[in-house]
Amino acid sequence: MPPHTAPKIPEADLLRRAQSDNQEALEQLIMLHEHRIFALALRMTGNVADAQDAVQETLIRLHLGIRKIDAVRGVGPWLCAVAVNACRDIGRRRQRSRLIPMPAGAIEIPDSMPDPERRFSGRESEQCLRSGLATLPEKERAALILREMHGLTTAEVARTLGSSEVTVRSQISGARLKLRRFFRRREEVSL
Amino acid sequence: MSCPEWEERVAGGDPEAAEHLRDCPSCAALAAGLARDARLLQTLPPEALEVDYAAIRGAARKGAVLRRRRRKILAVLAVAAAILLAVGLPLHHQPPAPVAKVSVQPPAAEIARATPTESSAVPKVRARLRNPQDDLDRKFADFLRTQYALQHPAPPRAAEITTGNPNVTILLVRESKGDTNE
Repeated sequence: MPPHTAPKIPEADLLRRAQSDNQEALEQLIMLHEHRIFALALRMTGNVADAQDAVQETLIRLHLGIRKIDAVRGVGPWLCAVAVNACRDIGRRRQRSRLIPMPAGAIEIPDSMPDPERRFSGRESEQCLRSGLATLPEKERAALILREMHGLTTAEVARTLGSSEVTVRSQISGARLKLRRFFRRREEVSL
Repeated sequence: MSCPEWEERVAGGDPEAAEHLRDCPSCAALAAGLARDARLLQTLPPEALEVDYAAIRGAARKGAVLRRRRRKILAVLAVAAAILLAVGLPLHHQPPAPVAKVSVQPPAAEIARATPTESSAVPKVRARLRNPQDDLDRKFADFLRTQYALQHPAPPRAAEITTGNPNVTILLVRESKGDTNE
């Protein structure tokens, strides 16, 4: 069932019921978050197969650890933390360095356009964005994705990544600058 | 403050950087670019991909069941191992066999070989030479002991008394020093 057709039950209620071994509530909870987890995993790993593996691993850990989730903090940050760790584990297993090699199509320079917003649209924009994110170190990438794309606060990002808030702020500003330089380089090449 | 330092503050969203942005066109351009990138990050939906979420959910359910089962098996094995360790070990525990401590002196030749050169402060260990006088004394003492034993034979320690019954013989044993247990 897609998330928009799921019955409007507050997430806290779903969590409480899922923690009482209600499988239906757990399924609904998963359906509420699976798209976001996939988006996070796709941007972290850079490829669809690894992203699907990461989502599956995250859901397995959700099944096993549903009782450990703090209802006050909510399921979202918990799932983000687990998904980031799953992506890291997959990356380590595949013996990748901090820079994920991108598929050849994704790093092709597109034709001339003034800026990334107008230059790329739809699939191309996503590919461009993924290429840019792939150039970032793993921790900076995770911090930026969680902060900008998933709307976590700096404190939540810090908790998720197991870092201090100061470190996360520095990682995010570093990642923003690197991403900007990446886009600027692409603009210069294409001009 | 140079622009590279301002760049970091602009990217970090430092409010103090606002004044600098009014005077520095390159930093202002950077700020505009960063704002554009942020909008792109926040608004761009993930690539529309054909992802079979139902299959992922099903696989996760099965994976969770398998892992739960594996955890249970591991827990049972751990408990069994703990019980075996707790119960099995004392049964096989035996006091260590007594070991005779024998100090063996290395042969003189080895000592001589191991001895450092003459410059060392440690005196050389020399091989013990046999004194011929000691040998003679020992032989003479043995001879005297034998002669004494011949002249003063020890009284018999046991005497047999036969009885009328051929199957019964009384054995008289004399007690001597150190034979209390006989």
